[in-house]
Amino acid sequence: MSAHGECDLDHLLKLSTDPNKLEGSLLVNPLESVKGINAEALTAFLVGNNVRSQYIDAKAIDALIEEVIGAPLESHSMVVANGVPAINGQSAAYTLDPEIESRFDEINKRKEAINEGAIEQPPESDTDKSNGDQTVNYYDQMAFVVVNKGDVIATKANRIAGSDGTDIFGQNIPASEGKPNDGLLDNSIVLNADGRCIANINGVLRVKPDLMFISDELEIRGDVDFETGRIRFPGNVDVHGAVRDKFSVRAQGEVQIRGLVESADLESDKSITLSRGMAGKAKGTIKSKVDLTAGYLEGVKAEVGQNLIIKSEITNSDLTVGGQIYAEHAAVRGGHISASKGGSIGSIGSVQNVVTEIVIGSLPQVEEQIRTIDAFLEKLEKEINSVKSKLEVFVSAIAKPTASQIEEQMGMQFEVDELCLRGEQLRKAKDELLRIVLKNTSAKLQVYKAIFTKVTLYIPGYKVEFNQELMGESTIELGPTGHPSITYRGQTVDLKEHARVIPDDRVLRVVQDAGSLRVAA
Amino acid sequence: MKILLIDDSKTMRNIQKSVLKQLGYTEIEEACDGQDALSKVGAFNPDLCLVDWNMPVMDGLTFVTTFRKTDKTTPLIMVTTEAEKSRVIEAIKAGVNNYVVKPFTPDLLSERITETLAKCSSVGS
Repeated sequence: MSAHGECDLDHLLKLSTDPNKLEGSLLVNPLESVKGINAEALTAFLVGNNVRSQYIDAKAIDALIEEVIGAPLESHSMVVANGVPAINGQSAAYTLDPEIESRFDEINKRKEAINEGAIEQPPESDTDKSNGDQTVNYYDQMAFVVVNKGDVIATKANRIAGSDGTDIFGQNIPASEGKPNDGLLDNSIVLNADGRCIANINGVLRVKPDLMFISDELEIRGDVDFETGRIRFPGNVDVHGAVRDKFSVRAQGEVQIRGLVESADLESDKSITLSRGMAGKAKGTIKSKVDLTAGYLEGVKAEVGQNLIIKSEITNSDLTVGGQIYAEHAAVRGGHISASKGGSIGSIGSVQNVVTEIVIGSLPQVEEQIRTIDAFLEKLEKEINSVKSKLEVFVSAIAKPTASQIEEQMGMQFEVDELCLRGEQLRKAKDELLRIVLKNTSAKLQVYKAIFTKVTLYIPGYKVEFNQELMGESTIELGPTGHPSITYRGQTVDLKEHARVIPDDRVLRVVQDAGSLRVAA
Repeated sequence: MKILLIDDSKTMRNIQKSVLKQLGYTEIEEACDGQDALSKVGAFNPDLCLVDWNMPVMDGLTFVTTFRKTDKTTPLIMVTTEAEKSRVIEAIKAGVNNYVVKPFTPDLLSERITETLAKCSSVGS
């Protein structure tokens, strides 16, 4: 035997490795001779075959020798050398915040429930909260994760570097590097130094394998129904389909519904556009802080901050419009419409004489406040007069007042002064409200095709009952004298000639006299 | 500016308070007689006192006399129905800086307050 591989036993030994050369196995065929088999010889064989001595397992060699000598078989094999495996690096990982994660879980459960047909039938009771028996109100549970600016979305764990290994022959085994995954977030989510991913905008959270982002617009490609739940969204909402009975869309941004809206509730801090319309069945509601545009409205209660734009029809609806109504080609049949700044309508009422009420030039809430102030002022006036007459009687009855009588007199005068001051403040507030009415109302209504009988029109200071049909274009407005006039068939005449005009204070008529405002009697 | 109103009549205090508020003074404390006022001056430390003359427990003149033993500078205005010249002189001798006879108008009270504060501040400076 000699060192470095030249060994008498070489013909009995064979070295084999795994594909990565991390393990070296020694095969011994001892039948011919086990003489001279010892640790030194085997180690020398391994070294002679380029196995690095530091990776040779001396104990394994001893065990192999013991096995060969103790119970010689045709062949023996044992792993006698071990390299160092490479430890691969770990990629940066994002873990959703537990609260966000649980919301996604709920949405997944909801999807499963829909797929299993568990919510085919709408629940009997449409309560807003989960019941005590843990059932879920699928109307209210929205199928989107909506987050607000500042919410913690996820936590990022940075990548961990790997370490290279070495095979039994001393060759380097390179470790693979973890990915930084820096491109997973867009600008809608901010990564803090502490690894927290914070929402940079309000919106719907989208999580994809290669991208996580927040969109400030919610696009629903189908209907708003049990698949989506009721929508509450801090940005714009675009619904490609319909909005079903009992569902709602509430958005801080613009709302667009391309399909039919049934008996649902719509609300927007901006404008609402219904490409088709709403069949509200007397239960549908719309609140739009800016404009409402729709093909038609039927059985709807709506409050519109600015203008109402209708293409074809308004039927049996109760609408309050802060600006103008633009419905040149539309028929208004039944219901009640109030438009603060008047507007234009195709036709009002119907040949079937459906009762239809139109109010123009009114700001109902402000006018209500003015009426309340008037009632206060009337009461105050009575009170002032009462204290004043008491004071007069008191002063005239006492020739030389005592100290306490002087104080009593001063007290009464003080009360009068205070009441007068309060009256002055109320009059100022009323003036301000009158100014608001004057600035934000217009009593002009243009009708293009017809006004049918059973139509009632309220304009500032008057109620107008149409007892005969007016076919063709007409314009009704308050003339310079404050009396209602109509321009019909090219002639401007007193409205009395075509309708019954009755003085009425349902809509206050604000007039300006020598710079001061007042409500005309 | 902290002002102490000393009058047994709540109505009178309200009238004075109303005038003071119109003048822009909001730090106002009330006392219902001289003794009540003496118990409050230490903590409240007023910059001006309006004092009625006729009050139960301790009248305004006694209050002025007692107050002036320890405080020579804080302006005091007597607001009273006592209109005789001798009474006015008595009050001034006791240490009041100005005198308002009831009934007064808000304008008169406001004028006297402004006048007193101006006079006292010029003396102080």
